Amino acid sequence: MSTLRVGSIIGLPDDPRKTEFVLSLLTKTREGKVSWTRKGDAYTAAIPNGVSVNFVLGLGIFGTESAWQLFTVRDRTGNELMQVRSPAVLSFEPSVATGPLLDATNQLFVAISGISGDELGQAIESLKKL
Amino acid sequence: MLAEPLVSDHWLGIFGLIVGVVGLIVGGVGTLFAVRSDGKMKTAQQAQRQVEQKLLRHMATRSLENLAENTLAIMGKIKRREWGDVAESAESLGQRVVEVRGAWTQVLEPLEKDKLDAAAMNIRQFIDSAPMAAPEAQPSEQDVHLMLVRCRRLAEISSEVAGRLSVELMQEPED
Repeated sequence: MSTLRVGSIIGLPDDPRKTEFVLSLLTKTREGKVSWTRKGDAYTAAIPNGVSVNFVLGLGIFGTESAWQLFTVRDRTGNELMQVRSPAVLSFEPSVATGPLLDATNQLFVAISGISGDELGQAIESLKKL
Repeated sequence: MLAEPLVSDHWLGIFGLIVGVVGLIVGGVGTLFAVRSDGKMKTAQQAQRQVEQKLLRHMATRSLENLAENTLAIMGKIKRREWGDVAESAESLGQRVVEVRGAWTQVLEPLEKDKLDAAAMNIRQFIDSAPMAAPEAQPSEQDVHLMLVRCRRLAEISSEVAGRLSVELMQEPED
């Protein structure tokens, strides 16, 4: 499910700091302190110290973006700090792992999608007011 | 009785002074030439680096364009149900994606790297799901559609990055 796929296969837990990072990001996102931008088939955000976070969306069977596929955190020089891979996108296989990191990442994605939905709703409202 | 020297100390002093001044001028001119030459060398090295960067971008663009073309070719084979060719080409495509991702990492934006990684995941899933050769039971329409969807993302991101690099190449001033 993550870059430590071998670790996942043999049952090693993810680094708890990764989960802590995602949960902190989730809190700050809900507080509106981290702003996410939609760039095509990805959501991206920049946080202090030059760290950037990206969600790449996966395609559903009918070509619609249904869920996230890849979540990556990079430092200011572009080096990968962590990467979480969704086990379920475009796959009929059951999710092999449902660790806290995956749960936290799912929650973060739901939160971002909600914010994005609100923005679209606001755009619709503003059109109606024309 | 002491013989009078051919050149007096006075003239020797003046001669020494002249030699010193000339030496100083020659040294100064030499230094100027050295500085100028160093400047030219730096400019030449800078120009060489720019040419190398340009060549690198050009090669990356070609490589990504080829990747997109290969992916589109496989999509064509899937549509025509040429399963023998599909299986063989898919394995080769899987290797090409990893190669491109590793080779051109320095010209890729962080988000582009992630999108290519995601596309590579899709291709791996596609390889796992593609029929080996002339399957007894033909894959269903839904399976075929899923294979196409898995390939399409790679074609899209490859073309997207190749397009960006092409435009950047065009915008760079000619040397």
